[in-house]
Order: sequence, then C-alpha cells, then structure tokens
Amino acid sequence: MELGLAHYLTLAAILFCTGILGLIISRNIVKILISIEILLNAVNINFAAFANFADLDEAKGQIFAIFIMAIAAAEIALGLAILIACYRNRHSVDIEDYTSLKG
Amino acid sequence: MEFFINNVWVIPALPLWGFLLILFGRAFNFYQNKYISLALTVGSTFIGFIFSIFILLYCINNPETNTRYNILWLDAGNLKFSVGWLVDNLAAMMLVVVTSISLLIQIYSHGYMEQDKGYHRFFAYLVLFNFSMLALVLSTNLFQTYIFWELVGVSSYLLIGFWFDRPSAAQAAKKAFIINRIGDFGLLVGTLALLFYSLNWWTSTQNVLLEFATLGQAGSLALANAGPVLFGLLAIGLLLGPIAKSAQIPLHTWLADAMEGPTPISALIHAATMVAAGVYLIARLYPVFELSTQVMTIMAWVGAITAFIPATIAITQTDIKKCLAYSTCSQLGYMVLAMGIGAYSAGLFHLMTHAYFKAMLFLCSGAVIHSLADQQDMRYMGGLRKKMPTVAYTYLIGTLAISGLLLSGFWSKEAILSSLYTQGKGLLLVIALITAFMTTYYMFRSYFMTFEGEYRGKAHFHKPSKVMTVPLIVLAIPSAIIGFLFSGSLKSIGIESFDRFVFNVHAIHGDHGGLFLPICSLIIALLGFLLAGVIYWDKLTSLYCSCFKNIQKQITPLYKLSINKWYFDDFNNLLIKYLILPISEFLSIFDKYVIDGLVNLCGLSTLYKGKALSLLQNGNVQTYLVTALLSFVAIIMVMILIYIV
Amino acid sequence: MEFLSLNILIFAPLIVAGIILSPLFPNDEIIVRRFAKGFAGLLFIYSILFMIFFKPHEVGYQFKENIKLFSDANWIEPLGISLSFGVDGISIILVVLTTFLVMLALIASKKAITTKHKLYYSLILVLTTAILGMVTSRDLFLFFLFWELELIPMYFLISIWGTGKKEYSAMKFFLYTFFGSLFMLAGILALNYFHVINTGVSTFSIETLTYSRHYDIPFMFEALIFFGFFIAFAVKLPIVPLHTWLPNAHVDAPTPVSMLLAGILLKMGGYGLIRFNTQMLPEMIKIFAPILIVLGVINIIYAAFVALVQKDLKLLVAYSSISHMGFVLLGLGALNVAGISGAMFQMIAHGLISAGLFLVVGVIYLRTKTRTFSQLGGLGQVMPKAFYFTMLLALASLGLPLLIGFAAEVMIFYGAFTSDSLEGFVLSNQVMTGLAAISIIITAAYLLWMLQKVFMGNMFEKWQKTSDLTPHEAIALTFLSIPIVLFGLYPEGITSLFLPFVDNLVSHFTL
Repeated sequence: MELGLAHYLTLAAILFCTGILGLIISRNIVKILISIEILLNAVNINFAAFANFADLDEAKGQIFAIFIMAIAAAEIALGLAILIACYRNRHSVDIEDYTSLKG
Repeated sequence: MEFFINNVWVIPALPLWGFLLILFGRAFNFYQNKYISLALTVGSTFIGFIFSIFILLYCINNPETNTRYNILWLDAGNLKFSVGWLVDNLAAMMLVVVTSISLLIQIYSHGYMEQDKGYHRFFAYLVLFNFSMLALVLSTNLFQTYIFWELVGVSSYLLIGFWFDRPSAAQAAKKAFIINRIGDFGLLVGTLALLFYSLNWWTSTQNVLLEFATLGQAGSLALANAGPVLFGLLAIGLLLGPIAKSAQIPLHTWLADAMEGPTPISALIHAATMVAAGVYLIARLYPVFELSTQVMTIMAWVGAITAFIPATIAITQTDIKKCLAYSTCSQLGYMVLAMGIGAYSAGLFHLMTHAYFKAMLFLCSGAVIHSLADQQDMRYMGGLRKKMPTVAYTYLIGTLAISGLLLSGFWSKEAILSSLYTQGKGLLLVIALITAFMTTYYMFRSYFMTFEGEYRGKAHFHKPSKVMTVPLIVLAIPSAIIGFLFSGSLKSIGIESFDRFVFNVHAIHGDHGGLFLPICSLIIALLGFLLAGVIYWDKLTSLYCSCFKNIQKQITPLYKLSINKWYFDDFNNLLIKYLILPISEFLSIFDKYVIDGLVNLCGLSTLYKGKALSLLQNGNVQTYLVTALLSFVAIIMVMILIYIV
Repeated sequence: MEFLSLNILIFAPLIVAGIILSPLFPNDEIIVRRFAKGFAGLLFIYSILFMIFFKPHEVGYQFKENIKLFSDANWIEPLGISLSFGVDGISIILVVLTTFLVMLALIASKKAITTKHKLYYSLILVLTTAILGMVTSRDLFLFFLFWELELIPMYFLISIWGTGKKEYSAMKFFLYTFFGSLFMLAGILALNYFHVINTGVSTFSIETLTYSRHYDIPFMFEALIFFGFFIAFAVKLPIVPLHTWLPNAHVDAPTPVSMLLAGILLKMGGYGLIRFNTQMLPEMIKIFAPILIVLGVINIIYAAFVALVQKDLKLLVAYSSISHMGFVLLGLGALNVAGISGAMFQMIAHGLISAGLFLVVGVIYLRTKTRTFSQLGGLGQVMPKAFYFTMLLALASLGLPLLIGFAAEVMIFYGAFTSDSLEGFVLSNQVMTGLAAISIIITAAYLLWMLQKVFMGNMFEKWQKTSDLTPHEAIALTFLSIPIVLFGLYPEGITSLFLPFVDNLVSHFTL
C-alpha cells in the first residue's frame, strides 16, 4: 500500500484530537503541557507532509517544522519554569486550583 | 435758561459721579473723612437742585416745553432701545420735588447717621438712589423708565437692608425687592406686548422706540391690533409696575416692612420719591391707560381700596413709622384713584404736596426715634412737645397738612374729591371721604400719643442736633404753603394753578366753584381730629364719654382685622408656604430621584448586565478551551453549510 | 497682522502644558503657578489683539489657517479633513472669554489646589487648547476631535482635585458628554456622506457645508442630523432633562474648574447650536424652533424652581446656571436678530457671572468648609468685600439694568416676544415669553434668598474669625466685575462684534 498524503493527515488529525482531548480532560498541568507538545507535533506532521507532497522544490514546511520544534522546546522550558513557580505558591499541580481568571 | 435745559443730563450725572467717587475712594481707602462723602452727596444734589429750579422757572415761562434727547443704547435687528432725557412740565415738577427733598434729607442724614459705622456706605447708596431716581424722572421712553425703575428698586433694596446684620432688615429688603419684581414682571410683559402690537408703526415712522411723546398713537394702534381684551391685559401688566412700586393693594405689604431701613430712607424713598414714581409712571403712560375705560376703572378701584384698607390698618399701629408707612400707602391710593378717574393733575398735585409733608413727618419721627435711642413704639412716648418743640410743631404742621386741615394737603385732596364729585363717582367719593376721616384720626392719634400728655417711656432723652431740625423747618414751609401756592388763588401775582401747569388734554378737572365739598371735607377732618383728641389728648379726655369707653371691645373683630393688617402678610406667607415651596420641593425631588434616578438606573442596569455576563468566566481554563473549540467547530460547520447551499 | 496666528494661540497652551509637565521643570508650586498664570495672561493679551484686529463687518472666517503637516496636502487629504482654523463673529468673542476665564481660574487656583500642581496646571492648559480649538476649527472633524479632547483634562480635573463623590461626578460628566457626542459624530458623518454622494468630493469643511451646500438632504435624514447635533449640545448646554450631570459635576469640582465649566464649557453647547443647528441646517431650525422654545422655557422655569429650595450654596448656583442657559435656547428659538444676538450675549454674560458666583462659593467654602445654608449666615459682617462682590454678581445674574445680564435678557425677551417662530403651535411666542418672564421673579427670589442666608442676618459665633478676600481673590473678582459693569453700560461693545454675523445668519431664514 502506497502511503499517501491522506495517511499522514489522518495521523496528524488523530494526534491533534488526542492532544485536544488531553488538554480538555487532564487535570494535571504537566499532562496539559504534554498534550500541548502532542498538538504541536500534529502540526509538524502536517507541515512535513504538505511540504513533501505539495511543495517539492522548496523546503518551507520542513523549516517551519524545525522552527516549531525549537519554539516548543523553549515553550516547554518556560512552561515548566512557570509551573514550578506556581507550584511553590499553591502546592498543587491541579488545574482546578488555578481559577484566578474567574470573573 | 436754555443752558439748563440743554445740560439737564448734569442732574443725574453728578450723583452718579459722586457715587463712583465714594465707591472708589472708599474701596481703595483714599479718604477717611466723613465730610468728603457728605460733600460729594450734598454737593451733587445741590447743583441738581439749582438746575431744577431754573428748569422749573423756564417751564413755567414756556409751558409748552418738550425737549428730548436720545442716544441709541441697544441695537440689534429691529430692536433699537434708547436712553436720553426729556424735559417737560411734569419732569420739571418732579425734578424740583426730588432734588429739594433729597437735599434736605441728605443734610438730615448726616445728623442721623453720624455715629453709624456704615456712614460712607449709606451715602454711597443714597447718592446711587438719587442718580436712579433723577434718571427715572428724566426718562424719554418706557424702556429707559424700566431700567431706572429697577435701579431705584435695587437702591431701595440696598437701603432697606442697610443694617443687614439685623435679620428683620434683611428679610424686609428681600421682600421689597421680590414684590417689586412682580411689578417689574408685569411692566416688562406689558411693555413688550405694547411694543409688539405697534411694532410696525414704530419701525415705519422711525420714532424712538416707546417714546412717551408718541405713546398715545402707538397705544391706539396697539388697541386696534390687539383687540380690547388683550389690550386690557397689556395695560393691566403695565399697571402692575406702579401697583408694586407705589405699594397698592395687593402688592403693598413690602412698604410697611421697608421701615426697617434708616428713617431718612423711609422719608426719601418710601414716602416722598420712589413710591411716588409709580404715580409718575401712570402719568407718563396716561395716553395708553386712558384708551381702556375698564383699566381706568380698575385703577380707580385699586386706588380707592388702597386708600381705604391701609388707613384702617394705620389706626391701630403703635409703631410710629409703621403708622406713617400705612398712611403713605393710603395717600398713594388717593393719587392712583385720582389717576384712575382721569383727574390727572389732581393726582400729581397730591403727589407733590404729599412728598413734602410726608417726608417731613418721617423726618420728625426719625428725630423722635433718634432722640429716644431707637424707641419706635408710640406707647412709650408722650409729652415730647416740651422737650423738642421744633419737632413737635413741624409734626403738627405735617399732621394738619395730611389731614387736609387747610394746609397744603387740603388743596390737593380737595382737587381729587371735587374731581370725584364732578365725575359722579359716588361710591368712590364716599370711600375717599371715609379715608379722609380715618387719616385725620390716626394722624392726630400719633401726634397726641407722641407729643402730648406725659412721657411714658424709660429711654434717656437727648436733644436732636441742629443739622436734623433745620431741614424740618425748611420742609415745613412747602408743607404748609405749597398747596395754596399752586391752587390757582394766586393767579393775580402770576402763579398759575397746578392743573394749568401739569395737564393732559384728555384729563378732567374738578370745578372749584362749589363750597359744599371743601366744607364737607373740612368737617369730616375736624370730626377725625375730635375723635382722636377725645381718646388720646389729655386736654379733651374730659369729653371721653362712656360710649367710647368700650369701643375696643365692641368692635373686636374689626380691631383684629386692623391689627393683623387684614391678613395680607399671612395670606402671602401661606401662598409661599403651601404653594410655591411645595412646587419647588416637588420639582427638586423629581429632579433628584426621577430624572437623575433614571440616569443612574441606566448606569446600574449596565453594571448588572456586566455582572451577569461575568458569571460565564468561571476561571477554569479548560472550559474556555472547550468553548473556543466548539465555537470553532460551529463556525466551520456554518461555513461548510454556506458552501454547500 | 502677520504676528497674529491662530496656530500659536491654540497650540501654545499645549506646548506650555508639555513644558510644565516635563521632568526638567521645577516641581515647586509657586514657580509652576506663576509660570502658568503669566502664560495665561500673555495668552489673554494675545487674544485681545485678535479682537482688536477683527473686522466685524466681514462675513465668514478671518485669520484663516490651514496647517499642512508634511506636504502641500491637507491633513487627511483622502477624507478631506484639514487642520484649518479661523474665527468669525461668534467665535472671536468666545476665544477672548476663554482666555480671560482661564487666566482668572489660574489666579483663583492659589489656595483651592493643594496637590499635584504640575499636573493640574498642565491639564488646565490642555483644556484651554481643546476649547480654543473647538471654537476656532473650520473643520467638522477637527471640531469633534477637540470636543472629545476637552473631556480628558476635565475628567481628571474633577476626579483628582474634586471633593465629595468626585469619581462618580467625573464619570457622569464624561459619559453624558460622550453619549451626546456619539450622536454628533453620526451627524457629522451623515453630512459628509451626503456631500460625497452629491458632489463626489469628501469634505468636512464647515464653510463648504454651510455656505456652498447646493443640494438637498432628504428631510428625514436632515432631521436626524439636526437631532444628532442637538442631543450633543443639549447635554452640554444643558437642557432639561439631560442636565443632571451638571449639579454633580459643579458641586464636586474644585472652584477654578467649576468656573471654567460654567464659564466656558456650557457655552460650547450654545456655540454648537448656533454654528451647526442654526447656521448649517437653517431649514431644520425653522421647523424645530418650537422645540427649542418649549425646552428653553422649561429650562428657565424648572431650574429656577428647583434652585429655590436647594440647601447647598453651590447647587443653587448650578441650578441658576441651568436656568440662565435656558434663555439661550429661548433666544435661539426666536430666530430673529434680537433673539439670537441675545442668546449670544447671554452666553457671554452668564460666562462672566457664573464664573464669579462659583468663585465666591469657593471663597466661602475655603474658609468655612461648608456650603450648607443652615450653617452659614451673617458673613457680610466679617467678609464685606466678598459680600459686595457677591451682591454685584447676584444682581447682575438676576438681570439688574446696566449690568451685563440685563441687556441679554432684554434682547432675548424682545426677540422671543416679537418672533413668529411658533406659528401653528398651540401656544404663541408671546405666551411662552410671558411664562419665561416669570423667572425674573423667581430668580430674584432665590438669589436674594441666597444673599440673605449667607451674608445677612445673624452670624454664627464660629465664623467670627473668618478672613475677607485675599488679594488674589479680590483681583480675580475685580477683573470679572469690570466687563460685567462695562458691557452692561455699553452692550454695543460686545454686540457690534457678532451683529453682522447674526444679521447674515438671519437673512438665510427670511429668504
């Protein structure tokens, strides 16, 4: 069976949905950060796939994917740092305890 | 002589100049000396008096004098108001009356106010009043009259409230101004209406707007345009001005309260000059009023009622100034009554004689009050004739004059009565005669209570100074003879009768033929004198028979009516308390709670809507995420749907 | 006359405000105040020069300016918005009034303002720029810009230096005016829209829209434009029932700000009514004149009655302001020369008188820390100078002849009485004017009552040591009294400036 674009996109969609689901249902903030990584990876797959199938001459998609990886790394570093700072204050990694946006 | 006529503006200009000098001199403390203020005031009035005398002489020699000069003051579109000066016989007569009385009263005031710490202020106000009054007399048109009409009102306000630290004086000043404002309101609306209904005529003939000389023609035009009903209302509006200024019923209550001012002021403003300005204005507006017989009738009745009611009030007053104030009211009623029945010159004649003798009476009362350390109650006076004979005899002259016992008041009152008689106004004549009786009664009552009998007071007596008694003596001369002088009896030596001098073509004159009326009025006056004497004069009390003994008890209701001033003040207070103030309170509450309440409601409702919507923000990030996601999905679905359709 | 530049007049205060606010400027109260005061004095003299060189008999704007920022094009060329200024008969007098009152307000600020001096004086100067820009702009958009700009310093002036519920009052003032200006913006845009569809050119120029508008706007829309402007100016003037911001704002604002608020800002409503509702939309004002007159009479009588029972000195003066501004409406509704000149004159007269009255209220409040009538009384014994000045102002306010209020009232009453703008309406002009004239009684009643309560009668022990006017206050009040007396005696001095304008204005109705 030839692997076509559709397969990659399906994989990316599944990953994306998994990420979203993780974002919505998980209560642990670390889990949420992981879900965000999954989301970003879904995007990366899309980028690479489209670059491979639609834009052979240039490698814009791949470059974007690499950018995203770099930013994801920075983001997770910052996110974890913030999380640790929050944890020091609240002694909790449960998202339910962080509701200071309540109107 | 021409010089004086052409420079008549000097007469009001000098007091204005004096006012400014005193104002700035004192504001920057250029001088302390009381005599400077006095000299500025008296000097300006004295020059005015000299001018006035020459003008009067000129007018007597040239009875057709009518010199006018107008300056355009306000010009906007077809509104062209002018101010200026007008000299005719009437103005000349008023000028002499005002300046001569002012002059004497200013000299007198020096004695009266010398110890007062507001000396300079007093003279500043006084000279301001002089300016306004003289400019009012010289007005060429109704608009200018309105200007100075209000200015004399404000001078009067300032002077009544001269001792503003006394609550009663402050109250009286305010009352006087507000009641006068009611009159001004009528005058303003009447003036505007008169102008409105004759506007085309004024603009087409290029006359000075509202000038007195042409007011008659404009008035008849207004009558044609407005119809009798509206014209009547207009004339009543105009009449409202004199009613308030001359203290006619029902706007008379301020005059008695105005006695809170210093006594020289009561003499000058509230007896001799300003209150007479109402009658003067009626004389000036006579061509308008006479177009409507109904208004003339109303005027006559207002005058008659005003002559009658205050006279009844004066009977029971114990305050000497209040007594004189009500008597002024009553005499002003006579003048308005005369005007109302068309006895134009008789009314003005009475204005002139009354100005002199009433000013003198007030000055006498001032001398008494001053000597008794501000005691005004006649029950605590008595026997003062021996202590201050000059004052007593001048007061007696004034009393005789006002009672119509052969001194000046007799001639002018007689002119009014005979006019009533010739006009056949029986009822009005009866009222006038009853009033004359009461006048004699209360005046002699006040004389007896003050100057005869034993001294009943406790206050220490000190003699009035020369500066106060000399003006009294000088004033006594015109009070005694001026009526006779202008009665027409001296034609042989060249003095014309008053009604030849100040006249109006349409007005009527009483005939001087019959002796019945003069004798009748003399008898009535004598009866009044006897009644007063019997009750109050110790030399006549032997006649005090039993029929008078219980008189007070027998007429208790009437007595109560009189002592409570016919409840006019109470009525006014009720009106204010139960009508004006509740309206105001209601509107204030309406403003605060309804209008502003609605505004705040708008604000609050927005606030609560915001509060309600903010409940959606529960602070849970995941909820937001789900919402965002679902919205996204929904938007995509809608777009797909749109694409499909 | 090269040296007379409106740009300098308008933007100099803004620049000076920047200088004062800059950190380099010494933070010393006396230096800041004297600097601001000196500048305001110069500005006043400069504006007087404009008045001297103003040629009243020329119709249209004079001293025209059109600032071109970067190129030869207008400011915002594609939309036809230009930074153009100019003065004509009605604005020149308001320019002078503004600089005059700003000068006096700064003089009166000495003791009334105790904190944040730099900010205060620079905000006042920003306010000056906004007001001057408003009355001189020849561009609708620019007018709107300055109209909004004026709100910002005013909001802060009330909310920082005020007393009582100052934030509430400032917010109310802000929202009210903002609410009104929304409608005005709609009106401005509509005028522009109809110009574009009729001529193909986008413009906001007042001159073009006034003098060379040769097309007709559909009646419905023209009426809507009229009401858009009307609501904005009705809030500002203020007209009952849109007036409730005024008592709050006045009571809580500091004295100098009250002076400016009553003295100038209320006049912007009247100015706008003349400039836009009357001059730009003459057809509409002819139709809606009855509304103006009815609202004017309601204003006059209603506010006078409300003033009669106020227990707070400043509230009484505030309501008397509302009542007096009703005369402006009445005069405008008359639609004749006398009426409109009277309305204009009343704005000047009221500007001077109410500024003076608010100053006196501030003087009393500074010494007694109370404005309640029941707490005051007999102050005339210890403050004679304040008493005489107040009496002069009160008498001028109640329309005493030969003071400035009288000429205005006479012109308005005459104009309204002889007008026929209410033809076909239930009540005639004459009846309405008669009703309005009742106010001369009520006005006298509440003002004299105020005088009696505050200055006359018995004095409380505790006011025994109250001091009289300081030289600053006395100078400010003297400055105010001079034009009050001068133009009362000689009203032509003011009327001659705007009469040709009004003549020209009215000639458009009678055509």
